[in-house]
Amino acid sequence: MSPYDRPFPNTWWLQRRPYFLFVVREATAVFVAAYCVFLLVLVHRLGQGPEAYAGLLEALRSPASVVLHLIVLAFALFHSVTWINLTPKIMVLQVGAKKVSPRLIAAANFVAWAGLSAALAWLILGTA
Amino acid sequence: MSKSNDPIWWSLFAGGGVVSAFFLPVLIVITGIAVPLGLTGNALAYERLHGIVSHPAVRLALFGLIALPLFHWAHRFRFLVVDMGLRGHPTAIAVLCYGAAIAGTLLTGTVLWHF
Repeated sequence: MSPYDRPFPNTWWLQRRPYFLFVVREATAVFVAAYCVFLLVLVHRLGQGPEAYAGLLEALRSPASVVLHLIVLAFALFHSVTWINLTPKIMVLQVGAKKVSPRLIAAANFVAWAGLSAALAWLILGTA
Repeated sequence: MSKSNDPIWWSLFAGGGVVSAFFLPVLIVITGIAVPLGLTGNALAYERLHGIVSHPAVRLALFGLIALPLFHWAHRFRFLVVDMGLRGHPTAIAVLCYGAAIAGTLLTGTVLWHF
């Protein structure tokens, strides 16, 4: 190890709030991927027939499933909010000499998020 | 500049990030809260849902919805693991992460193709 390497502990991310929030943001990917694996299981069970699918629906009604979903939801929401808050950095729009306000870009993406969520819910649940 | 295939993984990471950010929370609320509370009525009944998922466009959308976030995880997790202290094996970690995402994608494609 070079004498110029400043050693730092593996708990570096616990020492400052921004570091901690950064690691939480990166960790959201684990929970997001886990839910997508669940979606694959759901599709698979749906293809296996009514009994297999009914078994999965029944499991979704268990307290353990609700608790797991709430944890996954918390991380998924953190991912969505941090991701959309970064969209102004990626979508830099210029009108003439002025740049569109970053808050407007983020707000537009939040609105899009709400709209897409509503549309998907309507597609899945129907007009019930 | 030396050639790197990082742009491919980063692009898949970005696609997965967009897809999961915009579409996952509402799905989690449906399967995690609406179903247990009995708020979905007949909407998720076997015949109805099976019919919807059978549609090729729906299966294609599901493919993107499931596979892309796997690559989003792979790219983020690959660097997170190093940040958590596991230095010295960058290639092995990358192969494991992207390999898992590729395997998951193939599995997803197979399940959806044979639905």
